[in-house]
Amino acid sequence: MNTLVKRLKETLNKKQEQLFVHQIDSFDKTFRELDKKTFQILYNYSLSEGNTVYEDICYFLEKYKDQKILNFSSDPVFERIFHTSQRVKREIHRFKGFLRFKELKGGYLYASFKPEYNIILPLSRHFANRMMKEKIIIHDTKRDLAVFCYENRVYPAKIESSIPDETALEKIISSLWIEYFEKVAIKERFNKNLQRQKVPLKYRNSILEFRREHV
Amino acid sequence: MLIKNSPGLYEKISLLAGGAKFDVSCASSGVSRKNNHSNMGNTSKFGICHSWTSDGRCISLLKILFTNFCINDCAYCINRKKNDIPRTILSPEELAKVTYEFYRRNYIEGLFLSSGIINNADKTMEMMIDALKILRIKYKFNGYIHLKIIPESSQSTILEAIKWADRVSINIELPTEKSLSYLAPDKKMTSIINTMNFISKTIEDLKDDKSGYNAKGGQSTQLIIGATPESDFEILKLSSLLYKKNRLKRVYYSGYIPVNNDSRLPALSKPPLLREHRLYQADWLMRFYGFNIDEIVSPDNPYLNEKFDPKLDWALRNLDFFPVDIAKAPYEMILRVPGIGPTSAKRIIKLRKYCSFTLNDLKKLGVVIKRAKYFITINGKSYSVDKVEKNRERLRNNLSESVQYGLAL
Repeated sequence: MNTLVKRLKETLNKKQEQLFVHQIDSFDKTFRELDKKTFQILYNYSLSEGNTVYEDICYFLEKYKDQKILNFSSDPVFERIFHTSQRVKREIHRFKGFLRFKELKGGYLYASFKPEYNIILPLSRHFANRMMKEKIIIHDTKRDLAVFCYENRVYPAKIESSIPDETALEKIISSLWIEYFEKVAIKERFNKNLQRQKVPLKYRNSILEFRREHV
Repeated sequence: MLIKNSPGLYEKISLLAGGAKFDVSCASSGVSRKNNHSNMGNTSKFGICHSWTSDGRCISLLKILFTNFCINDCAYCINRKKNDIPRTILSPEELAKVTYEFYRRNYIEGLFLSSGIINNADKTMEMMIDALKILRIKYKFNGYIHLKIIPESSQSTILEAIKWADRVSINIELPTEKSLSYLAPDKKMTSIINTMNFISKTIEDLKDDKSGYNAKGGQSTQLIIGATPESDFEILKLSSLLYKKNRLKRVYYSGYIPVNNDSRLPALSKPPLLREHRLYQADWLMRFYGFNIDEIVSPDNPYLNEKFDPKLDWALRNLDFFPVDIAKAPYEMILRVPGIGPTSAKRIIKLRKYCSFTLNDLKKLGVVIKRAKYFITINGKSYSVDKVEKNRERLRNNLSESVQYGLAL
């Protein structure tokens, strides 16, 4: 919870630099009074990078003080917050499945992706825990943001030199995967429309097994 | 390096994936386990899909056979003894290595290992368990593993298998003893059911045991649909028993796809996908909507309606039950309204204490208005010109225009 508060403040501060010059810290108490679920909604919303994120969260906190109830159908701002944060949450979940790593010389696992929202932090938390002993680089090429994960920690990173070459094993494993992907489909049940719903075209460039047909 | 020294690994994976694809189960859900000890991998309660193949089915687990050699001769199976196809077997180390390398590239959420039978059931299971042990111990793999239990395995082998897997399953394949002995003479219904009971009991006994993985995700099974003449009633009756008596987590339905020329099997031009879809819907009604099987199908009415989903079909047969008042009715009644699922029903219950709804509000809560509007009132106010009690036929017509099949067939 504490790290979440910190992260939300960081995100808002960034916005603040451009728009407002006052006190994010005055929200501190209000943030801490929120239940975890509501807080998560606000955090996800802040990742959407919408134009009105800062104003909407101020509005929300102001209203929330009196109401303490979240009727998300009655208020257009509330509705926008819930709706958008749901979309952000969904994208995080999707990329937990869609992100593809490749093994680079030097023992790194590298993945690049172009998410609609700025989800690199919550996403890398997932992989930092999952693959504790791996040196992981996740790269949002749309925003040119990168993180380095190791031993359950996430560090901000900057890509300064060119990405190292893939290992020899990488080619073997990735071609095994592509072969597997082709062979496990049942041709009598062919259904490209369903596949398109499940794997949106906008993400296909970052998914190994779809990249060939897309380019 | 092992993989470089594996001649024909590419061909093996290709063959063994093709041999495993007809098993429909792929869930990676039901077990939430964090990675606490610098291992490789964790599991998520909700499961994660990693890709979707050109048939629209998700890939979550590396679904693969250990071998496609088999001593059995089941008529519906591509790997049956008498088929003249290339045969191969993986080594436990090869399988573990491929799983590990796929997992760390985030291709998959874990492993779903099944197999043809080589020598005998126990011998085959032992090799599969060896692969799991290498994966769990040498590669410190902490991700999801679903292991198929081969029929006729001994209890001690099954006990060992359960220790290393997150979920186990044994496939019934055909819903009656008669069909099973007709098409899969090597399999016995009673023996499969006994094994299931043993698995349920073992999982229950090991519930608090911390030393193994102990199949905390429970067990599942699969039924093939449309290869034999059983009705939907017979199939769902069996599922309902399996859920209640044998405590299964999931029953999967697999629309029969002809892979062999065999006079004992029906000739189908295409797989019964709509029927399969309706069975899943009925299955969901039994598990999440509080429906009893008798309300969905009966001996007199043994098939599900293809035109309407089973919930809408039930509603049309039980118009006396409606309208349900959204502002007052209990959860169980609201859940019976077509167009309202558990999520929106829970939201309604939670929010109605504080405010009243319009039809538009309900839409925002996730209710499918075009279906629900015929069956509800809000504080006594009706929203449909076709009031429920008015005209059954007209209601049917209206709904059949607005209801679209969930599947793009």
